[in-house]
Formats: sequence, structure tokens, C-alpha cells
Amino acid sequence: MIDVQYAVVLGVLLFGVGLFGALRSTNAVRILMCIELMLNAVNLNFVAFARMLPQGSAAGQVFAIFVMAVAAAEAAVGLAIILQVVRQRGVAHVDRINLLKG
Amino acid sequence: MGSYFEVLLFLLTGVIFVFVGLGVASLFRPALPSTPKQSIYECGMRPFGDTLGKFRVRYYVFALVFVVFDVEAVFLYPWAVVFREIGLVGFVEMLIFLGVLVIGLVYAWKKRVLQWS
Amino acid sequence: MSILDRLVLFLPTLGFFVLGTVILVSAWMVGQVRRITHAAFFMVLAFTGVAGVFVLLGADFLAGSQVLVYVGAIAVMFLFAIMVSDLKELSGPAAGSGPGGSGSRAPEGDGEAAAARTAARAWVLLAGLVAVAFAGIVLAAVAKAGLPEVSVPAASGEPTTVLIGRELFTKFLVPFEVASVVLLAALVGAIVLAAREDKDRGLGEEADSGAGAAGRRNGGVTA
Repeated sequence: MIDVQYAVVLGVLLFGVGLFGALRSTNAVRILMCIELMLNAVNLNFVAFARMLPQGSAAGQVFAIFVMAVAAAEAAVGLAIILQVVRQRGVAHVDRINLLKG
Repeated sequence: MGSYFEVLLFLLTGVIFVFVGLGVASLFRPALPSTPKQSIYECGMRPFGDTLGKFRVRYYVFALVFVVFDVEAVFLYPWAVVFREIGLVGFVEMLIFLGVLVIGLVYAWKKRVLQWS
Repeated sequence: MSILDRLVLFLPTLGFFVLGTVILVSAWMVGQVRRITHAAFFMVLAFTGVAGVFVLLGADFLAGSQVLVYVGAIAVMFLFAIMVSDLKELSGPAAGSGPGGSGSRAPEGDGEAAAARTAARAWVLLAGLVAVAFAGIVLAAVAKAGLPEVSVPAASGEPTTVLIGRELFTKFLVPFEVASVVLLAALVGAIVLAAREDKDRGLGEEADSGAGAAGRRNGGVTA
């Protein structure tokens, strides 16, 4: 038996770790990985909270599936953008990609 | 709980099998290392270059197409399970979903990214 | 009630804490480990752990799709992306990971390098502060919210796939169809971004063996 609140706490901690990783990294690919971890933490919370709904509702799990779909789309486009930037500018460090600043 | 206990047993057995197998083998096998033996084995070819080399971007496009249709499979599975319940409406819903994704496949086809030149 | 029965009852809790530790440690390593490839594999480990927690929460279909989508597809896509770009540029330490961190990226004067290192360290500190503050606030909110105490037996009876299917194709029909459009947009957009460079650099002619990698690397940086 698992208390659902444990899962919520785990989700919060995972989100925090992912947030820290995303903020401290300068490598664009690594930031994207940390964002994936944060999305996973969100999924964890969706599933945990879905358990608190009356029996027979799977809304939280359906939402988690949508999060997965969006995460896949986001990773695909994000990685394609990073690949393009690396090809054109030769760096994947986000603090050195400052073209728009002029 | 029941059925997942067996999954756990299965996992444990798998892990134990690997370590016991390798451990017992290391007790009995002779160890005579030599340079050719310790070199990297790659289908009998002499390996060249380093592993950090750059590969074609085409591989990424294949991975990309795979990801999209992988997600589609996740949506297809519950659809197949409840297909009898939702009937024709569900069928049309899924047809629309698939149709939209097929547009993407056709686009990839037309752009010739699926072709291995 | 033999000791074995009690052990079996205790297993999910134990499993949850083991999985939680694995998830948190590997998520931490994603941000810390030097090589980007290793970070990707730690990410895979964290994803797998989350799938295990899904099983313990009685969401078996979701556990399966977690493995299918995150471990099987997204992680592979990350690895492919690392593979097709120049790994040497993508790897390298995260900001300020000790001596030889981001401060030593460019050959600068000693003072400037030290200043850069200090700035990087301050940045890491700030990032940690933000993350800890966030987690603290949310945890406090969770503690105060008075959530109902529900405990789930692992795999509680009926498979969740039927429930998910029922809701997905009735209540969540519009999001479902929109998801296909999102996926289509992602597919087309990423192909446009990735295929453009095929034309620019004539990748078709280049072999993907590692033989010309060194020469290509020099050409790639100047592009």
C-alpha cells in the first residue's frame, strides 16, 4: 500500500531537481532533458491526484497521455532547432546564442 | 498486488542470472588477454575513427518520424480496447486522427527525407 | 499471516522508496554529469523509475506508454540528436561545475576567468535557491491543502486501459484530435528544420563513417 501523498511529494521533488538542472545548465540539449524530467514530474502528480478522484475516473491519466504527446512534439522541435543552431553557429551553449540581441 | 509480485520475481531472476552466470564463468575460464583479443570488435572489421564522430542528420529525421508514430500507437491502444463500446463514432474519430498524421507522413515522403540516398 | 505475507505487503512501500531514490538521484545526475551522452542515459533511468511508480500507483497502461514514449522514443531521439551533431561541442561541463567549468571555455586572462567562474557559481547558487524555494512553497501548499489520505494497492483490480479509452474518446475528444494536429505540426516543423541543412551542406555525398569526421568537424564549425 502506498500513500498517494508520497507520490505527490516525489513529483514536487523531481520537479525541483529538474528545475535546478534546467536553470544551471548552459547546454541547450541538457536543458531540454531537464524540461522532460519536469514534465515527467507533472505526469506523476496528475496520476497521483487522479487517485484522489472518485473511483472510475481516469481523467488524470488521460491528461498524462496528452502531456506525453506534447512532450514528444516539444522535444522533436526543440532538438531540431538546437541541431540547426549548432550547425550554423557551432555552439550549443545558450548564453552564447545571442544573435537576436544584435 | 499478486501479479506484480511475479514481475518482481522475474526481474530479480534476470539480474541474478546475469551475475551468477558471469561470476561462475569467470571462475572457470582461462584469462589470456592479448592485443587482438582486447581490441574493439566490429563485425570483424578494423575499427576506425572515434565513437564521437558525427553521423548524418538523416538518422535524426528517422527518429523523429518514429516518435510521432510511437505516440500514435499509444493513442491507438485504448481505442482498440474500447472499440466495441464506442462503435462507428469512435471509428470516425480515429480516422480523423490518423488522417491528420498521414498528412505528415505524406509530407515527409514528398520531401524525400525517408529516402536513403 | 506468515512472515512472507507480511513481506509481500511491505514490498510496494519499499519499492516506492527505492524507485523514488533512483529517480531523484538520476534526475540530479542529468544536470551534473559531464558527458551529455551519460546525461541522456541517466534521463532514461529516471524515466524508467517513473514508469515503476506508475505501476505502484495502479496506472499500468500509463506505465507502459511511459516506457514506450519516453524510454523508447524520446530518449532515442535525444541520443540521435546528440549523435548527428558534433558531440564535442554538445558535451562539456555544465556551468561552473568546479575547476575547468564554464569559466575555462575561452582562453582569457586569469582575472577574467576567475570572474567568470565566480559568476557561474553565483548563477548555480541562484538556480538552486529558485528550485528550493519552488519546491518548498509547493510542499507547504500540499501540506496545508489537507489532501485526502488515499492509499492505493498496486494494480487495483480492473485494467485502466478501458477507463482511459472511455474518457479519451468521449469527454476528451477535442483535445485528442488537437493532439494529432500538434504532432503534425511538430513533424512538419522538425523536418523543415532538419532537412534544410541537407540541402545547404550536401550531406548526401558525405559518408556517415567516422573516417572524415575530423575534416568535417573543421568545416562544420565555420558554417
